[in-house]
Amino acid sequence: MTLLQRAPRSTALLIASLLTIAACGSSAKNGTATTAQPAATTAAASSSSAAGPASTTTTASSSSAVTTAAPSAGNSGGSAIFTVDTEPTGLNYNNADDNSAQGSYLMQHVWPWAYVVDPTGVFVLNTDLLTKVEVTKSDPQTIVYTLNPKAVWSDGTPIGIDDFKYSWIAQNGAPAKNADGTDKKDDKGNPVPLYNAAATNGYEDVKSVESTDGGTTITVVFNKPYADWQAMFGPVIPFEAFKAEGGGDEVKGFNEGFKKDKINLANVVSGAAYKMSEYKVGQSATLVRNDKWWGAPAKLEKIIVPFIADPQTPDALANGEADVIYPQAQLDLVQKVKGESNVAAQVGFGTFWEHLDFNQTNPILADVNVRKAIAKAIDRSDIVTKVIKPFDAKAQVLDNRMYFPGSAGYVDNGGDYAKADLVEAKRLLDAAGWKPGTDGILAKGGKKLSLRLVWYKVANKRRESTAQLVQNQLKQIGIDIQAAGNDNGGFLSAGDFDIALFGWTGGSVLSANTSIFADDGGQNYGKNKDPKIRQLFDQANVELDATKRTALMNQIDVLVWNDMAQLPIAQVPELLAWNNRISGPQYDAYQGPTWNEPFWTAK
Amino acid sequence: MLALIGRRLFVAVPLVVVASFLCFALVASSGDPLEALRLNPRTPPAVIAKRSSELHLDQPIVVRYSSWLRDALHGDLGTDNNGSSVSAQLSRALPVTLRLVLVAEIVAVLIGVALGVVSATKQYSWFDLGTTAFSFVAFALPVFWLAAVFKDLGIRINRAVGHRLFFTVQQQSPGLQGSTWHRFADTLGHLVLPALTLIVVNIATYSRFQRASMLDVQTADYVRTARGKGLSEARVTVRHAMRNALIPVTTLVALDFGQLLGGAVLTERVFQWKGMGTLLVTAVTKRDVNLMQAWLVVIAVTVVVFNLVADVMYGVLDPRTRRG
Repeated sequence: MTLLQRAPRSTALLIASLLTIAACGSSAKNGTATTAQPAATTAAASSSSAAGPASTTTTASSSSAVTTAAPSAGNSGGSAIFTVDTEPTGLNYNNADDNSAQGSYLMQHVWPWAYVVDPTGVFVLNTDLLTKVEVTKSDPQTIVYTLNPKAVWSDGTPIGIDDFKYSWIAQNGAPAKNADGTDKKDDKGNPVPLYNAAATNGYEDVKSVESTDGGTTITVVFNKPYADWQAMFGPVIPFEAFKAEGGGDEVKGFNEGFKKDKINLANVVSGAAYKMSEYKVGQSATLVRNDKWWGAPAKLEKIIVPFIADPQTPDALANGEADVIYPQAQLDLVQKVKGESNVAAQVGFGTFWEHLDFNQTNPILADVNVRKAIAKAIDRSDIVTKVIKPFDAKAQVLDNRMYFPGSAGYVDNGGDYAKADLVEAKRLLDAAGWKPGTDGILAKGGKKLSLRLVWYKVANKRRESTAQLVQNQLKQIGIDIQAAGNDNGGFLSAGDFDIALFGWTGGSVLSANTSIFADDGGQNYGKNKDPKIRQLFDQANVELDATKRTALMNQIDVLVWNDMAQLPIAQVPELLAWNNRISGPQYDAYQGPTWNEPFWTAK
Repeated sequence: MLALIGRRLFVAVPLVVVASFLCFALVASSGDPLEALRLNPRTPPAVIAKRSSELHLDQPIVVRYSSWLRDALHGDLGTDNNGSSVSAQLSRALPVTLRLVLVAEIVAVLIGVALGVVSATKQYSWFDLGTTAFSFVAFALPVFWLAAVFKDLGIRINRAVGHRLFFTVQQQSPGLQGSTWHRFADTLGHLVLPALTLIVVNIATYSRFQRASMLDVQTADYVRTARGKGLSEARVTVRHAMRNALIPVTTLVALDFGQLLGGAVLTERVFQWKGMGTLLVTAVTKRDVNLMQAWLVVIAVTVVVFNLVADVMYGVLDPRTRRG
C-alpha cells in the first residue's frame, strides 16, 4: 500500500485525534449561553460625569430604595454577560486577602447593603432590607435599623441580629485571644487581629449591636461618633452561612472561606435580587434570580460574569461574547469601543483621582515656597486637555481632595493655583535663593534644583504623558526633572521619590482620608507635618451634622493647599459600555457598574 | 536506554534545584506581595502585619526557599498570596495549555514537514519560493499582532455569515448549555483562532528546518543509491530521505513543545485562555513565589522529559545512535 493509499486513512485518524483533543475540557454546564448577534444599528454614545461623594445626612429615613431605580426599556427575562477583568480571589471581599472591586461587583446583588450610593453621590437606603434607619441619639451615637420583616436569606433563614452582629464583629479589628484571655501578639509585639478584615472603619468604634423591639429593630451604639456610618453594613454578611463555610467556625469561615477554588454554592446564600447558581474557577460565575427574593424581581433571569482582561473586552463586546464591559479607560480602548456601531458607551469621571505628592524629607522640597513654586508652574489645565479630555470633553481640573465636582460638598479651593503662573513661580524660587545656572537650571549653594518624579506603574501611559508634560513645564522655570515609572509601589512607603505621581480612590468614606493627610497617617508618603490637619480630622470624623462636617473637610483641604503637600490633577476617566441588546446600565462612580443590575433588561 | 535516562536525570535534578532557587530569589526580591494592601488607606496595619507573618516575609530568602523545597518534596506546593491552593490552580491551567499546544503542534508539524519536504524536492520552484516568503513573513510577525489580526478577521467573518463561528476570548462560552455536539462545536470555535496563531508561527519554523534538512540528505550517497536501484521518487523521498531529515526537526519539536507548555503567554493573554501562560503572568505581577515555583517545577520537568523524548526519538529514527 502506497503512501497515497494510506493517506486518507491516516488523515482521518489524525483529524479524529485532533478533534478529540479539542473536545477535551468541554463539560456540561447549566445556564444558557448568550448567542444573540449584536444588531447593526447606529451607535448611541453618551457620556456623563460622575458626581462627587455624598454629603452625609443626619437622619436616614428615606422612602427611596436602591431597587426603585427607574425601570429601563425592554422585556423581563433573558440574560446578559457582564465581564470583570480579574477573577476575585474569593467572594468575601470584606476579607483583606480577597478585597477587590470585582468581588463587590459580583456579590453586590447577592449580599445586601444597608445603603447604596447612587450615581449622584447620595446614600440611598435599601428599603428591601431596612424599612427605616434613624439616628436616635448623638451622644452616644445610637442608630436604630428597622428590619424589613420579609427579609430572608435564600436558604430561608431570616436576615437579622446575628448577621448584623457578625458583620460588626468580623470587621471591628478586635485582637485574637490566647487561652488565658490575653491579647495574642506576634513576634514583634503587634496584636494579631482575629478576623482578616479589609477595613475596620466605623466598626471599631461600635460598642454594641443588639436586637431590640422584639427583634424588629437592631440598635447600634457607638463608643465614639462615626460620621461615615451610612457606609457601614455594606454588605450585611450571612452569619450561619459563614459558620457553615468554616465547618462550624465562623472565624475560619470569614478568614479562609469562599475562596475561588473551593466555592460551595450552598453557603453562598443570597439576601438580594440574584443568587449564584454556578461558579467555574478561572472562567466565570453565573447569577440567577433569587427565588426567595421578596422585592421587585430582577428583570434579567440570568447574569453571566466571565473573567476577561480589560484589553480583550472590546473584541468580546463586538463579537457578542460580552454585553456589558467596564474596562479601565485607555484611549485606544475607548476609541475602539466608541467606533462600534451597535454599542452605547458612557465615559464618567470616578472617585479615583491622580495627584503629585511632594516628599518633604528632601531638603529642597522641605521649603514650602519651592513646593508652591512648582505647583504654580505646573499647568494642570494643559495636562487635562492633553491627557484626559481626549476621553471626554467634560474632563476638568480637580481642585478639592475631599469632594468631587458636582457634589454638594465640592468647593474649588484651588484659588491661586487655578492657572499656571510662571512669573510668580520664578519669583518664589528667587526669593528662596534659587538662581539660574549657566545651563539654565536653578542652583543654590552649589546644588542644582534637580528632582526625581516617579509615577506608579511603568505601563500607565496616562501617567507617563503627565510626567512628560510636568517635566517640560518645570523646565521653563529652571527645574530639572528626571522622570521614570516604577512598578513596585513600595517606593511610596519607602519615600524613594521626590515627586510621586499616582492615584487615590476617594468616595463615600471620607474618614479614610485621615490616613493620607494627617501627619501620623500611614499613607502620608510625603511626610507633611501639620498638626492642625489631624485636629480637624478628629473633629470631622465624629461630626454627625453634614453641613458642619463638609465645612471641616474643606478646611482640611485648604490647609493641604496652604502646605502644598500634594497637588491634585484630575479624576481618572472610566468607561462603561454595552451593546444595544441591553438597556439599563448606568455609570456610578461610587457603587460600580452593577449598582442597578436588577433593572437591566434584554431585548 | 536506562543509562541515557540516568545520565540525563543526574544533570537535570541539580539544574532544576538551582533554577528554582534563582527564580524564588528573583521573585521574592522583586517587590512586596502585600503592596495592594499597603496602598489601601483602609487596610488595618494589624492585618498587614498578620499577613506578612503568615507569608514569612520577614524571614531571609534562603529560609523561605528551604521551607518551600521541604514542602514541595512532600508534594505540598502550598497556597498563593491570597490563600488559594497552588496545586489546584496548576491542575486547572495545565490541561488548558496542553489542549491548545497539542493541537497547534500536531497541525504545525504535519503541515510544516510536508511543506518542507515538497519545497526541498522542488527547490526554487514557485511553490518553494512561496513557502519561503510565507516563512519569512511569519517569522517577522509578532505573535500578539497576529493574534489580534486573527481576532479581527474572526469577528468580520462572523458578521458576514451572520453566525458566530469564531470566538475571541476564553476556552469556552460561559454558562454553556446544550447538546454534546453544541458544546463540542463551541469548544472548537474557541480553539481555532488561538491554535491558528501558534500554528502559523510554528509552520514557518518547521518548514524551514525540514527543507534545509531534506536538501542536506538528498545529496547523500544512500539516497543516490536508492534512486539508482530504481525506486520511485516518492519512495526514495519518504522512506529514505525524509526519515533521516526528520531527525533535526524532531529535536526542535520536542524542545518547542516543552517550551510552549510553559505557556504560550502572549497567545493566552490575547485570547484569555487561563493556562500556564496566564499563571506565569499572575505569579510575576503579584510577586507570588509559591505560584511561580510551581510553574517553574512543571516546566522544568517538562523540558527534561521532552529532551529525553527527543533523545529516544533519535534512537528510533537513526539506529546508528542506539549504539552510543
